[in-house]
Amino acid sequence: MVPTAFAKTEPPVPRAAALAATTDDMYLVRAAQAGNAEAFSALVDKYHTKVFGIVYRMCGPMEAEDLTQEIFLRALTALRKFQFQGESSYRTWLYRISVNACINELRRRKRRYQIEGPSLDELVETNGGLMERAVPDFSRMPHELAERRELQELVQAIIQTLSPHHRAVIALIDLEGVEYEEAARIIGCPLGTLKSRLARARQAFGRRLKRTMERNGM
Amino acid sequence: MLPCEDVRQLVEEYVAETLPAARRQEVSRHLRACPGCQRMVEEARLARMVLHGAGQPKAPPGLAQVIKQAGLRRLRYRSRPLHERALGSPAFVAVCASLVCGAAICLLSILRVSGAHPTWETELPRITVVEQLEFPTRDTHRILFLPARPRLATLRRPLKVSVELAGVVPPRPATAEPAPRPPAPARLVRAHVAPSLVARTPRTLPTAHALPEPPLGLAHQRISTPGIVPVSISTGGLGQVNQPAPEEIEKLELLDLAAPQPAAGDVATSLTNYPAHR
Repeated sequence: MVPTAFAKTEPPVPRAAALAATTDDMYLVRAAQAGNAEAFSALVDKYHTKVFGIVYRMCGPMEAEDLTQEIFLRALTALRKFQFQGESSYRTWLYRISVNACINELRRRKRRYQIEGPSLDELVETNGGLMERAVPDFSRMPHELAERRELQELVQAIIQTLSPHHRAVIALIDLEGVEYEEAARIIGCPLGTLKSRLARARQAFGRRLKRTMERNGM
Repeated sequence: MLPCEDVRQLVEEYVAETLPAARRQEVSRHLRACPGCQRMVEEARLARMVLHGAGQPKAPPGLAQVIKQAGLRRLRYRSRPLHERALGSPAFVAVCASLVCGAAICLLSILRVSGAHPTWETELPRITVVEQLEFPTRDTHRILFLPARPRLATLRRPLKVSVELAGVVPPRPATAEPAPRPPAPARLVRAHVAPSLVARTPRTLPTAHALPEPPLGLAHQRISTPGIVPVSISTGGLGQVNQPAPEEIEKLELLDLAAPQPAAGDVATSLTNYPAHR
């Protein structure tokens, strides 16, 4: 199912709220480790949107729901071995599972066929069926164009042309609002490596976006 | 002025406006002189602007419920005892099937090796082949020795053959005088010999059987029956017997003394010192 609307990004969570969330996660996770079904349901309600967003950005709309379900089942299976190690520990751990699952899925797809991502000239899957990609009206400012549905689909299409690691950093930092330090722990690389990778990802994204805009006559 | 490599590393912070003032002025001065870095900064700014305004995709409404149901099934399965979980698992069934097949293969192999098949013999039959390979001594007359007919102990499905050589005389030790051998019991040899080959001598045969006088008409005829080999047998004093030609030697049939007397018409010609069959 293709999302019909894109909500605006949430403001960054203050530190006190993050600590409160961590404390709540600690109780929920320990209850779920003991086999409490309600605790597991609460964790699903809290994180399934964010996990779906990461999966959608990295792997596209195809099989995003199945992959999200698979990520939560993997987390439930590995929950017994999970141990809290500081604040935002469970979220970091869950996001790490999500990113790794998406990277593995992209590698599996690449083994089948060459991943070039959807061509900018290909039809776009929407709720109304396949439609031609409309030429965005670039006469307006870019931040206003971002609210247009056609540009959102163009953004998704350009992200799909990036490498899996570039997709991961853009999905976590630019789209999910994760902080640099947490993103570095999720991906499992040093902070400097993360920043350089993010810079290259954004440059690649911007280069392709600008090329598309020039081709469309902006 | 800053080099392009340094500016490339500071692009993100320059676009995010988090650089110190002095550093920012240096980057700005470089951008005024470098169109490549300027284009790079514009692309980074456009990407940041678009990505931050893209928003988050909305999850389908039934996704959370589907995930919860799958998780609850997993929790219920995990709460069952191990033996209940194992009984229905494919891995358990596969392990049991492989164990059963392995045990069956081992049992069949053991039964086959031990020969427990109902149609097979429990004991391997033995075949005893007795042959007399003793050659005549100097005391015996020159004869043509043919091997005795082997006597078989069993003939059923021989799987193992043991050859026992009986009557084989071991090599005599090097002594000055050979040990005297007891004379072998006499043995009747039935053979047909052409009368023309037998010379008449005044000495008679030491047996009760005497050569009948051949008819005059058959003096130069060869008397032999098919399958019977006329051999030249030394008469041991009876007289000289000429050696028959090889083509006249057909077959020699050996008989024991305890065997029934030869039928009428058969002529016992001589005795030979054959060792008796055992």
